[in-house]
Amino acid sequence: MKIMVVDDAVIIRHTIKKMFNEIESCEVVCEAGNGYDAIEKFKQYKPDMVTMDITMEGKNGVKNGIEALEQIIKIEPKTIVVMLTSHGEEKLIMDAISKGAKGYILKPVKKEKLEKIAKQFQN
Amino acid sequence: MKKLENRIIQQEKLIKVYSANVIATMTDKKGFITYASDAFIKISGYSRDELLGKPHNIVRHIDVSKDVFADLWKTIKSGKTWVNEVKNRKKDGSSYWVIATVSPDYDENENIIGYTSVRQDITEKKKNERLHDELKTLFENLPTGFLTIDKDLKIKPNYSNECKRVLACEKLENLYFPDLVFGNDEVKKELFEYGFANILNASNDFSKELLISLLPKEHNLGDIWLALKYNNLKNGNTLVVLYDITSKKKMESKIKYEQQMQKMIIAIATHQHEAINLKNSFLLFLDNMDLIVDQHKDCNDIFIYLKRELHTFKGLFAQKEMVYLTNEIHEIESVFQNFYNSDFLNLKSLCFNMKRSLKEALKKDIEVIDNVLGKGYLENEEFVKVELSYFDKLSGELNYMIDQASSFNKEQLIQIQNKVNSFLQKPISYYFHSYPNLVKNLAADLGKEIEPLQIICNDYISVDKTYKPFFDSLVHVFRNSIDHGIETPEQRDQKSKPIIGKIVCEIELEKKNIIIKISDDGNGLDIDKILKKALDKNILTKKDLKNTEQNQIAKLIFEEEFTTNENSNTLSGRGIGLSAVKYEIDRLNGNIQIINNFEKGLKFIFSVPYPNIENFMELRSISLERVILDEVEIVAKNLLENDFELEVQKVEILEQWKIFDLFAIVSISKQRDIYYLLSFENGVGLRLLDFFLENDEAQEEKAKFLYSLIGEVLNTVAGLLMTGFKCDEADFYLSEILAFDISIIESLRKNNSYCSHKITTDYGDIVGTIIKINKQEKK
Repeated sequence: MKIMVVDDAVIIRHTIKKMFNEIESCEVVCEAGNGYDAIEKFKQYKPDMVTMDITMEGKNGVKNGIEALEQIIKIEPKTIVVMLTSHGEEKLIMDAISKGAKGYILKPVKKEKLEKIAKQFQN
Repeated sequence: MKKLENRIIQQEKLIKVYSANVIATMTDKKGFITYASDAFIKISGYSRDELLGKPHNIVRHIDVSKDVFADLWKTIKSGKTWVNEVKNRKKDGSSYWVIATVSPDYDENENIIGYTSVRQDITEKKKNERLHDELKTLFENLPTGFLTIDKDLKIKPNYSNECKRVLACEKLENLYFPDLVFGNDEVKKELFEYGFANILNASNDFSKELLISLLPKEHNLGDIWLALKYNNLKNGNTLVVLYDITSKKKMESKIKYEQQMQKMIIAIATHQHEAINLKNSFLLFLDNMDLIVDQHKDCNDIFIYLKRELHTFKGLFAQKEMVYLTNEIHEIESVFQNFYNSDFLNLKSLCFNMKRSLKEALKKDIEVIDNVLGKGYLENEEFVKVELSYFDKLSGELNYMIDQASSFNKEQLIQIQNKVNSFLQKPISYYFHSYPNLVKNLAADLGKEIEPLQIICNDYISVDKTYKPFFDSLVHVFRNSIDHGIETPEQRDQKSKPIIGKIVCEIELEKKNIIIKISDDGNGLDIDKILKKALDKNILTKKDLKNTEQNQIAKLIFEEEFTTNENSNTLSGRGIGLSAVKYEIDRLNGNIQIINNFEKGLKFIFSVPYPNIENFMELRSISLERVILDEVEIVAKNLLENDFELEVQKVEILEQWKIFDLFAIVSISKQRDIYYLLSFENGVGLRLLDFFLENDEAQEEKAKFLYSLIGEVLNTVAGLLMTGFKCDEADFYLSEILAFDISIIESLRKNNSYCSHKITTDYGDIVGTIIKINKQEKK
């Protein structure tokens, strides 16, 4: 499964990437630090799954993770977009799910959580 | 005639059909059966012969009360028809249910001559009814709340009794669920409604499930804690399951409270002096409050002053884990939020109330401290005696809590336990402090000249009383050195050794062992003499000899009943001395090494395991803080002479300490200069370490990652600081004051500087400290 990691914090991106690459059949093919770059990279790499930070700084009119999600779903509706969120952002996640997100991961990110998600969407 | 025949045939047919299908009987006036239909015979299990002429109560079931029959007879005797559900008894004893309709039969003169009853078999219906009733009773009395809500979030009529109890409401039908359950929490109520609106519009079951997982799962309704589960039903309604988790929550909060109290006690007890200072300066602040309010003219000035002082105190008391006071200050701060542009009168009454509530909160905290550590613990700076049994109790309680705790809490609790145990420990030098005197006296008694005993040791090493017997037993080693090792001045003179002998005791930590080296410059051990003795005493046989190394032979002096000196004296005992050392060191799983230098000296090396390696590290990291501060001071001095923009001045990994002790110094300049020190708490480092251990990264990669971590943190910090710059107030403070000695904070404040901010990241806490702020003239 080809994965794209989107998060504005380098450390978190780095962590998620390492964790995913340790999971069998998962490969992080690209990463992005904001929603705008995420869309561009998505077009280029066509990943099967995207982990998307829900709150990120905006760039070039793409305000946050949810907007990026919407656009990615528009490009390829089958994409599995999983939102990265924290407690207290439940409403945002609900929006994201209604707009096509297939799951969410509560921070802090742990390998087991990624494994579970990867397993769920393997097929 | 034919017509009549036909009619009779027709009638007979009719009777047959009637008999086969209608459960009917006829009786005479007294209730003796005169007719029974085939259907009745079938259902009752009796033959016709068994029934005819018998009283009708042959089919009566014992469950049916006499009153029912009394009512039956009363009704039909009066000429009325009686209809009722009746349970009847079959011949085999089993039962069946019927609706019986009994009516009187009359002769031409309207006299009652008997009764006819027809029945309908309702056994199946009754069974279903019973099953339904049983299920209903079961459902209603389950200890779990079940209810369904419709699309408008209104509660449907059927729900279990438990719902009424947990929601404290007798009639739930048609009530608006979010109001009833989340009425006391607007945020949750909104989240629930928002989530539900999304669920109703969700395009597929998968999204629905995901959305349901985001609805509130627990809720506090005053006295009751609820856990909630939701299940979307096919018909568009939603099943809500309510569990009462109050007792679980109570247990949890009790454990939490106890943990909190333990934390406070430890924080106070380990820094009593500081705590007393803090308490006193807080009381001073409260007492001077009125004066300050009177002296100042600008209401806002006072307000800002109060806010700042309180915030600082909050941080300091939080460090001491004094919850009541910390919470109270927190409350007051939230009142402050709505208190801008106030007048003096308001401010004065606020101060009055504030003083009272703060003093009360402080009293509560002190009560707890007094209860555990003894009355007046925070009253003076003297040390307080604490019963040893208290520590045993504390330790026992902690053990219990560690057993009960989740793995996350466990770590913290074990740390607390280490701290508690550390109370019972003393620096290792404490156990040795009587030896110099002892050596001096011994030497004098034996006519030996010895330099004062040197004990070289590191005070970071502290141990509890289990080590005491071993340390005490070392007296024999010193005696041995003085008695057998160090020669008399005359002998030493002949050997051209310094006339005054020397004994040195070194104590150090090596890996996980305490190493105690006791050496003298005496004449060492005479191996041949030891051998002879060993053979005499049958400790060794000649056969053993070949396989025994010199070193091994030297160790024989620690064997039971072994002494090389022919004349045993009071001091050296009768050879039991050194064997006592061996006994004690074995008990601690330690070992002995002897370095023998015949005629020149002897060195004993004792090694015992040291369990407190973590405590040791902790102590070292305190001095690390000092190291960082010193470092920062130098850098800050250099920086002051230059103009600068934001830059990272220094990033260092102190590898000689631990991989995770890192820090960065940032300087920022615009309207004023700031030196910002970032240092990582152990937790962060540990997590990073974990991260690296999992992936066998190259050293270079590790360093790169750690630097990028700092870079990331700096982004955040710089952002926060820059925002701070924009406001024109003389000082700003970030969210939390923490982690420094009160004296440091005081000194920083005197120099118009502020400090400390904790950033919580995914890896743990990172501590940032503003070391110095200098106002700069605008250019």
